[in-house]
Amino acid sequence: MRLIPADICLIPDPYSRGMNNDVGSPVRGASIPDTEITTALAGLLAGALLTAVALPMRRLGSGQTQVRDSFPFSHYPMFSAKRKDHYWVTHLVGVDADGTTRPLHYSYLGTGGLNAVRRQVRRRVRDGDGPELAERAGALLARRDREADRTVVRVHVVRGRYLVDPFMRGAPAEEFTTKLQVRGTADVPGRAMLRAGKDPLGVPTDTAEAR
Amino acid sequence: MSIDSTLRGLLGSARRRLAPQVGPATPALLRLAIGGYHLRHVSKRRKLYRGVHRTDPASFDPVGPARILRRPLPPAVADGLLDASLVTGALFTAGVAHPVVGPLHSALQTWNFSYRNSWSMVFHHENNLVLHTMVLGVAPAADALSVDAVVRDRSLLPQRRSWMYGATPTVMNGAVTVTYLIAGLAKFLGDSGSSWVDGANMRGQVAFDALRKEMLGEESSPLGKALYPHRGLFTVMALTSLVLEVGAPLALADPRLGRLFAVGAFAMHWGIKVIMRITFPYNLSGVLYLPFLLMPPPEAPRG
Repeated sequence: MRLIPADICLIPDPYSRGMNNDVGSPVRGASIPDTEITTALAGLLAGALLTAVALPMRRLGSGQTQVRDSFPFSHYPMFSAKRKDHYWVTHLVGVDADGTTRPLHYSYLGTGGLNAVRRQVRRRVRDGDGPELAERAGALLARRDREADRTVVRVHVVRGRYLVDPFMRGAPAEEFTTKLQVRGTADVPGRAMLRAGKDPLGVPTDTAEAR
Repeated sequence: MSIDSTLRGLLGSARRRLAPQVGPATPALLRLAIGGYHLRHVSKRRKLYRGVHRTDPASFDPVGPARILRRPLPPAVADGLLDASLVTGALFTAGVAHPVVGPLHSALQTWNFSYRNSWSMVFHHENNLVLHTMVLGVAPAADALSVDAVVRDRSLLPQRRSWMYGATPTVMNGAVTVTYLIAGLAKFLGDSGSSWVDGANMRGQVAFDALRKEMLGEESSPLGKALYPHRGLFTVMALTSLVLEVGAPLALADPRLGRLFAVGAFAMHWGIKVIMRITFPYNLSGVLYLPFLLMPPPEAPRG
């Protein structure tokens, strides 16, 4: 018993050495009739597909990174961009009750995966929606109530300029952060007592120790 | 020897190499693998896609066929089209009424992924899945290992042979190699130019990716940071990837070259996954490279 049919070419196919008539068996062709018209049509369709895949090449070249990408025929603009020594990211920062700050997960800002949210947020902040995004993120943070983010009392939507090399070499945040523009701020609902320095049960908050 | 007979000889040789006569199992196996992959891919992300359909309309920026839209579809309609592609995906994989279901499934898949990519970010890992399905959708890919084959021929592996079966993986591979070629040329011809050759741009890409991941609350790859100081390593990796991408079309010339390309590209995407934590699911699954592994050997000349 064959596990792999003979025409699967991981192994040589003894029957591939001739046309149907050479083998001399009543082997039929494909379910699509093999006529001159279907041959021409197959060539036409294959040619059209390969041309469509290749056409975005015309967008390649210097200064083409701002040309809108498409799908499924792409010119892969992410590979054309020149990398600088710094990078701007628009993101969400959480402020703990003790005043320390840290980046928060992108899912508080939108749906669709990291890169999709990153681009949506960048565009919306550019359009002046920073305060609205911060309000929504604060509300979502309170509603989700994730354990890791329970000490966050306030959120900022920020646009940060970061130096890439020091970041990759493990320098502290104040060394690789060169600009931090706050584009929206919101208190996290239901955490007023934490903000006042007390936890909801009246125990003085010491988040530094808790961590 | 006349020009006419030389031309005929060349065409015949190209046909035997690119569209050899084989049985129907090659495209059938590709249909099963790629249809099955679609079902798994979309089922796993159904909740995510439904969430995307409900994204703020301000973020809607249509690409591809979705550009016919001026505003987003009502979420229920987009959900319905997504679910319809799961139904056509199941029928496509099982090989039911392929002449109708094949093109329909391909059209639905192209539409849904275009629509999903119309919210600020184009995901490139779905390009080749769509291209593969387009080819299988119109090829006789359900002549074996399908419901159609059992109904028509009362056999899962009927005795059929055609150049169309041999041409199917060739066209699929042709489309894939062109996408790799464009990615390679984009590096050479873009603003960064030679920085891709010495590895500086690849190193920068790794750093940018780690930075934005951490600022957006995700973990970056510790390996990316560990490798970052070793510039020479990035030069080697960048050169290897450029050779692989720009040389991709050569993979069509011979099945052995095709397999070599498949192994190289598969390893490259796993390298990207480990160093940058960037996941190209279709590439990493290996299904993308299956048509290279199933490329039929060239047909021997008659006589």
